Amino acid sequence: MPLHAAAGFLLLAVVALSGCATVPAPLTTPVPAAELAATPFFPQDAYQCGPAALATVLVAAGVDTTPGALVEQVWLPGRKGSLQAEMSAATRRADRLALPVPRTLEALTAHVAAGHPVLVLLDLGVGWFHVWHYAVVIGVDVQAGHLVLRSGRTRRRRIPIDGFAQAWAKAGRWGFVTLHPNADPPAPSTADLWLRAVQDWADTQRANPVLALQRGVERWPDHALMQFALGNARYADGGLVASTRALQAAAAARPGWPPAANNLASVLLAQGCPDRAAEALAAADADSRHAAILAQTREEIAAARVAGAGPCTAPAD
Amino acid sequence: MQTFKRLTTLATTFTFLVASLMAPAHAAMISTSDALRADTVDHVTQAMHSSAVAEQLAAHGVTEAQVEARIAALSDAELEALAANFDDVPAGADAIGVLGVVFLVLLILELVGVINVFSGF
Repeated sequence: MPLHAAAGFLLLAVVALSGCATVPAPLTTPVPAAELAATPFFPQDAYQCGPAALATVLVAAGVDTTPGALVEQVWLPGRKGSLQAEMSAATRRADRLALPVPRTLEALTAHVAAGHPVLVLLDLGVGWFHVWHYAVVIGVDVQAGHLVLRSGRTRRRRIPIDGFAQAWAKAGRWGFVTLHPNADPPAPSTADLWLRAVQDWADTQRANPVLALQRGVERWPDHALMQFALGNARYADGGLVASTRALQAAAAARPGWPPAANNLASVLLAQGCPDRAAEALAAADADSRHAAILAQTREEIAAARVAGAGPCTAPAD
Repeated sequence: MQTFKRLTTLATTFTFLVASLMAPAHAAMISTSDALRADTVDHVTQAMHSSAVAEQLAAHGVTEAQVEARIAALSDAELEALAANFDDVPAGADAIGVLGVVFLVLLILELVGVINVFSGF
């Protein structure tokens, strides 16, 4: 029996023994065979697959780093490993987005096919005996039934898709790609994942997310939260006209949503348009969570009306 | 060094002051991170999450100098999740040990005649 067949048999035995609950759906959409051969390779030192895998995807995304330089950012001596959250955090420290892949094999392989190596967490253990391991998926060949990984000390580890799917499922189907914040959102990504990744990067690095959010609304123009986030980022920049347009789009995409109505009202007020601000705010549904801030906006509008408005400079609806 | 620190603090304060003056007036804005959250989390709770995770990192051998920088790079949601169950989240580490186990299992299967991997060589 050839070795890979034996490995397959062993895997089946392992699966049977561990009684793993869910077997992920097989790949239905054909993905063209792809391998990102230019992805760098850093053979890991003892235990340190976290820094090695992270360096692999960061260097692939144009960051000048090494596993050694990342140890002090992700290595947790007491656990002899690296936490998922800190892998994402270190990505942001390198000024890259840590964009999670949707939790399906289709999405994962589609990211690879779109040119992005995917850092994944695998559980290579049996049953309750977990062996957590980070690796980077760099290739996919559905016809041949295997994926190609940079893993541990192996530059090019081919592993059967089924076996990978099991180990990935046991680790929660978690993985992410690293992207320059000015990059376009990868085709298989989603608006929610993109927005969260951009926002986490901007919040923790005190970075300006305008460009990344602009790419987001170009791709998902009807996504209320994305337009809202862009409106806020433009406002923070002092770009009142651009902020108004984005917040108008947010309010149109989600009528009655208090945050969009409130912020649109505030931005209109800042441009000397209290009447239009009152109209925008009146569209807000009742909301106890943001009641205080809605009341404050209402008061500010009333005060501006008493004081007498200057010329309204906001763009039309 | 002390003077340098003071100067840096002064410069930072000044920058924030200027930035806050430049922001347009009448700002009753709801922030994006607030809108993204399911529930309102106040600053006190957030600070508690941060210090709980900082303690855990230090207890697991992260140097004092690094703890602060590592905390700063974690999102609020990540801090909350880590504060809730630091000891239960996976820590990706090593596959080399497991390869030894796989080898052992293959060897046993070979010896009892279930498979025929090694005798081919």
